[in-house]
Amino acid sequence: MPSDGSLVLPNQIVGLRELKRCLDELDATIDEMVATAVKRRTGAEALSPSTLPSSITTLIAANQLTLATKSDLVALKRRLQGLVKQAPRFRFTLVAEPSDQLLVELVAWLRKNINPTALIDVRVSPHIGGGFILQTPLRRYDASWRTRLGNAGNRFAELLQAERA
Amino acid sequence: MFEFVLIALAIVAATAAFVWQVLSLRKIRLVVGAYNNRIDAVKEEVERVFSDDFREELRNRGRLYFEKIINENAMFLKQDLGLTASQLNEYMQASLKKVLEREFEQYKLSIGDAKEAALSAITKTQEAMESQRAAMAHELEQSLTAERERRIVKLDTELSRIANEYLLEVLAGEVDLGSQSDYIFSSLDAHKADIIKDLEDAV
Repeated sequence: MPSDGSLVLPNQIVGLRELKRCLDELDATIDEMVATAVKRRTGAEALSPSTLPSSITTLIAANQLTLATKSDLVALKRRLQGLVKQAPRFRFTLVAEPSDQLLVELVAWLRKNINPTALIDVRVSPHIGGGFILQTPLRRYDASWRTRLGNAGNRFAELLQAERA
Repeated sequence: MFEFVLIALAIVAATAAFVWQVLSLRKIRLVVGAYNNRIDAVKEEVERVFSDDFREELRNRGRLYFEKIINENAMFLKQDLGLTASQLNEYMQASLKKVLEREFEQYKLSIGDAKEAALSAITKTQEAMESQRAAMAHELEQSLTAERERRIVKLDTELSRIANEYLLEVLAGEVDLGSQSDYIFSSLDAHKADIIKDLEDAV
């Protein structure tokens, strides 16, 4: 866990969708725990590791959390809800659907170099040819092949004329 | 006195003249009378010699002679007329021939002039057409050259765009993001500082 108390998001939680799914799973876990406790009428709220979804166990492991009670889960839920609202989002436009490994590598780079809670959103646009377009909260970074070819101007025609000569 | 004398002389002279005249007239009358008598005598003789039969004979002979003369003259006239007509015909033929030859010569000259004029006009027309053809060919060549240059410039301008579109279209279907990862991360590294600043400014 970072020193400022912020959550460390595992690389499997790539974007907002995965984060929300994690939240939903956490909600479901909490509800299940309450239901189980009601059934047992023991009042005990101990967590059984085998009943937690993998996303939550990964989150717990990444942050070295101890979730013994329901209130721990609720606190985690609030922190995750805070992330949903505040985590910086980066939109990547790629030429094709990226593999899971590439997604993980991208989010790892962002969280290592930019912000540890960065979330990414991927869109596919074949007309960019290759490379990527990154949309940050303020700016747009265009490293697509289309733009690079367009910035080359008449270089192709110049090369052709050189060959003709 | 002198005047009286003159008058008297005049009267005398006049009287003498008168008398002389009378005598002369008388003489003349006598002569004339004699002459007339001679004439009458001659007439009578003539009448006696030239009787009606004799006159009729003379008339007949005269008529025959006249007819003979007439016939001879007519024959001569006829011959002359024939000769004249022949000569005239020959003259007319010769004149007509000369005139026709002259006219034909002039016609030949005119035809020759017209032919030369026509040839000259045709030659000039051909030269003008050739000149115009050359001008039009030159203008067409210039237009084609200008159009070719314009299209070359347009092609050169559009070629890069077309090549880009072609590459993007062809490569889009064959893309492998895994092979682009180096490019993606190197580009991200190049903009890292800017991205961090954006995030700080956004907060």
